[in-house]
Amino acid sequence: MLAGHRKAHRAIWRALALLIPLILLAGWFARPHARVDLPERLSAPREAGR
Amino acid sequence: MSVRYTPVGWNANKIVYDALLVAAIVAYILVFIWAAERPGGAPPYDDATIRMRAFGSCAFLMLSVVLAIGPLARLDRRFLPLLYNRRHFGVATCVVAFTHASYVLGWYFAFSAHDPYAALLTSNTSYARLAGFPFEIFGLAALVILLLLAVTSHDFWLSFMSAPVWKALHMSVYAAYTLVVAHVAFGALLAPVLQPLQIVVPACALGVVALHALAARAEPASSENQGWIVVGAPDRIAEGRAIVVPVEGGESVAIFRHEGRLSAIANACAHQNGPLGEGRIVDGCITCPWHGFQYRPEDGCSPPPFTEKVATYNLRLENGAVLLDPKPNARGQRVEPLAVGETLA
Amino acid sequence: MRDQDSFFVGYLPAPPDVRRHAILAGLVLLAGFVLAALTLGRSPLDIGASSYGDELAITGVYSASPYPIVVAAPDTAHPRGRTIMLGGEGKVGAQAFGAAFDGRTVTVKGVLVKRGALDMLLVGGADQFAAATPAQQRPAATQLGRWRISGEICDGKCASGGMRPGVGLAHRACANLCISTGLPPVLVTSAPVEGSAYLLLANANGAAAPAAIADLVALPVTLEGDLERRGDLLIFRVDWSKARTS
Repeated sequence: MLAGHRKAHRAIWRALALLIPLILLAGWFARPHARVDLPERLSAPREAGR
Repeated sequence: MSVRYTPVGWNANKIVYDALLVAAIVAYILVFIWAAERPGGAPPYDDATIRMRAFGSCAFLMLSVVLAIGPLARLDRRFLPLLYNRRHFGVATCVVAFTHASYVLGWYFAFSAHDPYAALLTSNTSYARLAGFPFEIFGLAALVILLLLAVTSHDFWLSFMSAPVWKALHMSVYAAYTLVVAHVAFGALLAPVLQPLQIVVPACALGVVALHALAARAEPASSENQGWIVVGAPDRIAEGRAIVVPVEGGESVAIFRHEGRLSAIANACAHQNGPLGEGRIVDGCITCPWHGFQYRPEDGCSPPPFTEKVATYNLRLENGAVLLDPKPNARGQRVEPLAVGETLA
Repeated sequence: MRDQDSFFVGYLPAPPDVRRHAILAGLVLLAGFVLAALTLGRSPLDIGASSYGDELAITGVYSASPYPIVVAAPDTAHPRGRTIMLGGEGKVGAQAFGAAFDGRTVTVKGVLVKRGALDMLLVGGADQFAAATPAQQRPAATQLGRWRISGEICDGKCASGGMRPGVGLAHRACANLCISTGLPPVLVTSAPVEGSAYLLLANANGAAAPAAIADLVALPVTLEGDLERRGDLLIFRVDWSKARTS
């Protein structure tokens, strides 16, 4: 019982040692980038009457 | 140990432990709110959001500490008193996390014609992308696990489910922690400006992982020996203490010396698999270092009225060396202690 | 593994050195929590001051589309005519309250929520609407051309101070819930457009934004569409098929 428990415990922590840094990295890359695209006018106003 | 179940078996150590625990939580919440509401400038968070953040970050820190106690106690046994009452720490963590969730439901998901729980699950369905992922679902899953563990934390459930099932169930706390890390990584950490949380959370999570890796390295390797194992000279074992011998299949055996005689029992307490070999003889009984469960050296039985039993092992003396039979006896089977002469200091 | 003679048994009085170490560990934990609270409680986030609660009555022409707005007659402070978005109290749009008044001149009473130039009048119910005289002309929309504009889509109520911060990804689901109940979505722009830091969002045909807007809320987005001015409010009629997140 102890051996099984210990093996499971060790396997879980090996997985978490990979998973937790991966999650943190993925979260970091999901941050919104502070990129500033300035507003851009593509065409002048159409004539009135539309 | 208990023969009947009471809601909480209080004693002086538990009271001091819980007092410090509650003091830490109350201090954290009050100081957090005070720091967030500092006058001067417009506070970027409203009161409900400040409390949401206070309880959420508190729960994360608490869960990190709870998961650090185990490996700390394996690396330095002076941390064992923290482990003794760890369950209260876990239940308190669940209460703090639940309070966090209540503020979220009562603020972000309230005031609409929809049921708050339905709104929580349906307001954001961007499951296909990382940025804007509905991170609330991670927190909800973690909270469900924490609630389940808190509800089944009592020794009644341990006995009702049997130790292996209870242990397996309570290992899901690791899943809860991973979910909490994801909840924060895809939620609060995605702030538009750099925040202290973005350093504290990864530091805690990676610290917990590192502690577990260190503690795993300190574990004895398991032996693949067949047949009797040579343990060495009897004077390796001090009076009232044990040495731990790994045997086949990852199990290990604790060999104790009591009044100049050796006895071998399984190195896993019947209560929660505590390392009996790191315990002592107290009042003639082997005493677990975790929760103080006791066993008689000669038969691995708890003294009456208690009923716990662990397996015993056979020992013999050959050419001045102690030999251990790696095959366990039945739990509670009596084995005459091996006389090895006078007590050594 | 450290070894020492003191042995801790939970239900017995702890040996002095074990007790010392345990109390020390407890105090370190306490101090660590206080320090963490000081560090994490303060936030460098600056979203500007907001106000919530000033009562206001405004008289002007009510328009139901794309979202409820009232355009007041021009005055010296508002040469184009003060224009204000309407919302309900709680997470609910004001559409149902004003249904009988589209295109008519009304006086609407409510509570003003305001952050910077972005503001909204929160109306308690249909009884806060009253027909007003003299009747005003429905103001003509001024077309400002086709634009490509980046920014963050927020719900107009939370972003104008209904909640703080009321913006950002942690608030995303709340903003979605608000928008789904009929509160107006706004684009907080990366730089002022024609003098305004935010735009009311609509469909290309001038109706309310589609439900699919939920997938874009709180993310950095770039939208393309026709811009028009009604009173002093800018309305961005977005071609949603061209919306992209960066």
